[in-house]
Amino acid sequence: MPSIISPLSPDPSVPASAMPLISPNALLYAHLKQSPPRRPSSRTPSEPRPIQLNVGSLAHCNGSSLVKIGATTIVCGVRAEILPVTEIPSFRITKAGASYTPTAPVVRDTRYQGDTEKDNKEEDEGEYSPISLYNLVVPNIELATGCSPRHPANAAPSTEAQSISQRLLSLLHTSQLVRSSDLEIIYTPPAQAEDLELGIDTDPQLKAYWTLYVDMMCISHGGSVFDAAWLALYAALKDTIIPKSWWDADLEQVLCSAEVADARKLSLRGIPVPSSFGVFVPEKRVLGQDGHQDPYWVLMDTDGFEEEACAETGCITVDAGGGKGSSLILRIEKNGGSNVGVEEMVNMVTLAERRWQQWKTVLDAALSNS
Amino acid sequence: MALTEPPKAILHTLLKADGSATYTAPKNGYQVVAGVNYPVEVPYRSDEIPESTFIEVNLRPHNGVGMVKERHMEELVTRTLQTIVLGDETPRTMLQITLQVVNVESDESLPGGVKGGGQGETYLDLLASALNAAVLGCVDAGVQMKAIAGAALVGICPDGRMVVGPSVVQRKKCASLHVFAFTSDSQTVLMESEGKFTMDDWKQAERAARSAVLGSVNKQDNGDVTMNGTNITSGSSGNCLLDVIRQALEARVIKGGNR
Repeated sequence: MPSIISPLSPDPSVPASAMPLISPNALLYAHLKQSPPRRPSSRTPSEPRPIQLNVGSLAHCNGSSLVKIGATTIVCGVRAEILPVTEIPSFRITKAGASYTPTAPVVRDTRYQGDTEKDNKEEDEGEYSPISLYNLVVPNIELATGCSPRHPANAAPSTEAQSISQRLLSLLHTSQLVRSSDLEIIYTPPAQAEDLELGIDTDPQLKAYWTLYVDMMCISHGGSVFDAAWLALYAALKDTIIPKSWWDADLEQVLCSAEVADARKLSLRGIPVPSSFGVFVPEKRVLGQDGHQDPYWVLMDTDGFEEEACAETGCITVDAGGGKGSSLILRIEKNGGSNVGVEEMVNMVTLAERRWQQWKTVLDAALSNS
Repeated sequence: MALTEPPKAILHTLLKADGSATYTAPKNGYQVVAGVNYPVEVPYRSDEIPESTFIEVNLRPHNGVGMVKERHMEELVTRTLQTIVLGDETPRTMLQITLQVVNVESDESLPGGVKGGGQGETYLDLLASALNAAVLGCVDAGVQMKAIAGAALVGICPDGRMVVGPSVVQRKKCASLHVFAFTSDSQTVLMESEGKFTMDDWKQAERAARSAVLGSVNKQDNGDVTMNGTNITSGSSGNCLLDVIRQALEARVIKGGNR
């Protein structure tokens, strides 16, 4: 009985899907040296991927979002917890909630009197924002979900995960996205309780803070995870509702209302939008006799395969919503190479502004649907 | 713009390490000791790079153990060194750099003069010092490099004034902080900025950092500096960071024999 041997593949050439594994650098160079340059995903070098956004998909947290950018998928949930000021080890009262009546201040540290006028306009946090001082907003990203072969599941947080967490935290603090006045729980004693002889005054007192734990899970790692994580974090905070809460003087604890109608949203400062990029430099042996002197390409919104081929990476975060013509820059990062200098970065601001418009459209659409 | 008070650098401050350096930021800010071992065996086979040198950076804060913030800074220092170290000269080996912060400025405006360094605080201030210490350590260890790199911290005050190497109180007031690292052939290898700023501010900050690192040295066409021992140490070109590194190297080479 003749054994059935399956015929060999009629085409002996390497399948296209294997090329990124065999020689990513050569593959990328072959695509980019075309004119006009095209990436393997048939995008132009400056073209970002479309963004998909869903908000409020998780039922058990205060706010949630799901962001998909190409193959990158991030789920984000925000959990709000009450932190009584008595549980903060080094708590010091510096200022009242700026949204509160500035004429009836919470007990102030006299050394900070000079700052009060500045704080009243509520535009900026003071020099010592309680959000960074007491870590009231805690972002964390989990990459060990089996999202890519480079991040094995259930392993300790990788360097990349820790780096992204730190960058998210830095951007949260320096952009002053969350207002500390949104997180304060203030108690105003009734006026009749005032007794100056016993030292009981009726100034409002800060009793507790809301702490926001922002947890992100990377379901699929397809490059530019920082962008997707920040946008997921932003959308989740936009979606977050904080229950109505008050200090009960008799029980001496904070109580919350169960009514959703009483809950309020956070008012965030601006819309920072990051745009990551990678700089692709072909290897010498790939270049061969092609003659160019040190060619390089700046690729916006790199996907997973491009990210592995680019040593030099960076990110520029802009907020184009100021309406003053030139947009505000919140963060610029670049490391791992020496090709991008000041001029290239200036050119990239336009691309980052375009990304901002794209995100604004997506965000508005998603929020109006929810 | 030269630094008002130059940073200090001393090479070979540790006896047992292959290379070491102590770097003190301007205005007696951060002091970082770098210990460099090179080339050594790679401890994990999976980390070994067949055609290049594996670079490992360990950063220890002045108190406690390094956490997420330090991991990120280690990553930035590693990535910057990867661009200047000629890794293919010693393939399959490791360049190990240990950075220990030994002194920080205390913030007298906080109760008890609290020393900063919380996880929520900025990492840019220490990043510049850590990178400079790491490069100095590599110089002392004889690591082969394409060029020397140096970093500077620039703060922009709310009124738009530039401060090179701001002190801890100035940093708190700054609207934005910037770290730029340049190689001695004036390429930009690291840019980190945070805060709120415009592109014009940023360009100015870059210029300020560039002159603080590279100075306005009397360069030859090939980027080299004439080291005839007179115009460098007498400091006619101001005290930029590269001058400080050169002086540290001179001190090591000339006086190194009687140590």
